[in-house]
Amino acid sequence: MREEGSYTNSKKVTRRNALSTAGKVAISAVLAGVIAGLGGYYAGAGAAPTITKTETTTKTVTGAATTVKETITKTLTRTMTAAAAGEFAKGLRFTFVTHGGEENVFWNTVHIGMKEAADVLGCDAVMIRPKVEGDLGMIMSNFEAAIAEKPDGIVCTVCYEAELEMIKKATEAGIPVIVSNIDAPDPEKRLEAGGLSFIGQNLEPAGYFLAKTLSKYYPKGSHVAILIEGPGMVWAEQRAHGIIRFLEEYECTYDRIDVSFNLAEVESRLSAYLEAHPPVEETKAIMSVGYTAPIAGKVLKAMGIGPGEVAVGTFDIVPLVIDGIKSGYVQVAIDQQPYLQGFLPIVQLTLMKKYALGAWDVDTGHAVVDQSNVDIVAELSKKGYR
Amino acid sequence: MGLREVGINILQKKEISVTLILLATVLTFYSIQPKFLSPLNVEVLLKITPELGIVALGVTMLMIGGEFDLSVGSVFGFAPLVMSVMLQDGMNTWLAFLIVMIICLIIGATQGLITVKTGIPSFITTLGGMLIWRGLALVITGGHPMYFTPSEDFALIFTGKICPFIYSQLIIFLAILIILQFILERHRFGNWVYAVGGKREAAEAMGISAGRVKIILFMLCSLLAGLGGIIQSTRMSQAMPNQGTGLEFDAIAAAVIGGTSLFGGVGTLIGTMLGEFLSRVIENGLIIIRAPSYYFRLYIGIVIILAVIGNLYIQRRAVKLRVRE
Repeated sequence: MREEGSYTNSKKVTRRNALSTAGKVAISAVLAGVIAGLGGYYAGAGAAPTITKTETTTKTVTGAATTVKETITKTLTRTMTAAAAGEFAKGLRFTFVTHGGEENVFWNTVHIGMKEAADVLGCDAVMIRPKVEGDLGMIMSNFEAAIAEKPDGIVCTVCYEAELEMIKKATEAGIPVIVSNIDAPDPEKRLEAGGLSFIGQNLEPAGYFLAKTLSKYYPKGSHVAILIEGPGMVWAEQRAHGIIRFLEEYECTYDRIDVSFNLAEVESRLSAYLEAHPPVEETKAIMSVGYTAPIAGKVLKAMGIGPGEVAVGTFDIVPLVIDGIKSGYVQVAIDQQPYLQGFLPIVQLTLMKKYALGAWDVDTGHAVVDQSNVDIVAELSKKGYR
Repeated sequence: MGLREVGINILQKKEISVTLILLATVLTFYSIQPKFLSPLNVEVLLKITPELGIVALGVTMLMIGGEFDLSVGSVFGFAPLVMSVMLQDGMNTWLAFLIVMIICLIIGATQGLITVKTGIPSFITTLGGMLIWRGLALVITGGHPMYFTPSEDFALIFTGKICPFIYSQLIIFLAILIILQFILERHRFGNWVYAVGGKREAAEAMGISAGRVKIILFMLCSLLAGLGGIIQSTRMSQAMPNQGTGLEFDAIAAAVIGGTSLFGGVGTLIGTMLGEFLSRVIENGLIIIRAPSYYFRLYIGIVIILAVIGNLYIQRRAVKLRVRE
């Protein structure tokens, strides 16, 4: 029989010591686990939304000479837990299978939307996120497990075509499926597989909407620079297609600048481009299909161009974009509203289960953020709602 | 051999700790949610575990031989991408498969040669490999997923459903497990692997070429990583540049949970198989009981520590019982 080694160095550690140490370590490990588990549990409980209700009543007291108005303000605060929440969808269980990794902050907002819908309606909703962003193997395993658990409905993204197979499997198992955030490149294929509706930003129209909304800041026939953060990627190309469609209608000329989300790279390429195509004189507007256009503010400032002299438009709400709008260099940002992408699918599935209503598509991507509302959006962004 | 003797022998097995934890975990999930052991879910577990388990087997062999391979996750992604490019160029599926397997062997041999000849720790060599093969995967694809369309017979042999619960990949996984287990326990090469991983100088004094044994193990490790990746891509009809990210740590965790030592010379493949199943059971079970997926890392961390301590404790108890006899 083969002689097997040991985890300890037997020359230095006696058996008694090893066992004693092992016992202590085991107890520590279990305690650590329990503490971590409880920590996670209470963190979850702490995350339950607190709803503050303020009631204001006005009493009029008439005195000898004057009328005193006494305002009594009663503030009723109650913490709403899932159990105490609405009964409308009680007993229903929904599962959200996403490609967004555990560290992706965008998905935290979607998650808040999903949880708040579940709390308001009184149903149970969980989101399953892969350990690694976009890992198809993991997404498919998660999807299979979600189907095996037989929830009352599934919400998913279609990041890869292979996921259509899972939508089909869920549909065949009698579980309704709604697609959120990313639709199949061909929505017909999604419908064929059983994906009942899409709730998210329609990318091509969103590009068109950005270019059109920004057009009040640049004249017809302008020259425009378009930053493409994901050249060749479906989401980026579709938004770019929409931007270009409007620019052609608006009789503009344009150049695509292929970049990534690396801000230093964007700054370097945009600077070089604007050297060759001077701002104001030639380049009248800059747009991005991702969120990097605010970098234009930095480049323009360095070139001595003031806020508003070149129109800048971008997508999504991140601190960079909010700062850009506040500085005046960015005129318009289009928000795809991730909160709605979590909230609305739960509402739809609940109505479908309760009243056999049909699913319906929702374009969540038409929210404009500009100088008029940037302060409130910035505040909500800090809280994770935008 | 008395009953007591049999009991002590069982307790001395490296796999006992992971077996007990696996059983306890399965029973816990089942008691919380009986759907955990529904035919549908059991089939899911048996379908998804083999492709990752195959990689863990190679990693275990290398760890017993006293080395690490951090590049397995990247090779897991790189191999199917190269095969996908060949298939899109119209090459015969089997020929493309053969070429990719040879490329994997070359990758393993290169990493092994560098480690053995220069004396650089394999942790560093394969960390470099991890970045190189992942980087190449991104260069080839530009970051985009690619279609993976092998011939029907290939797909049937590697991922076809044989009967309820049983997919081809499970048979391939078990076949590799049995062959490697046979080599480890019954073949001369297995002795060399344990000897090289345990005490390299002593092994060399006995005339074993430690360098050659290690290079062969590196080659085996890369080969199995590539094979696992190709099975996953065949199952999903897509090859992605991010495929297998983080897999190296999952594979090492499965080996350690199963009783393999980080210091070489100790380990079992059966233990790794059980360790791999345990990881997948936790991942899947948390979804079935509707727990937030964030808990996976927490539980797997606890399981690693408990499994290793359990091994140590149980075996010490067994030794104590034997001494009392």
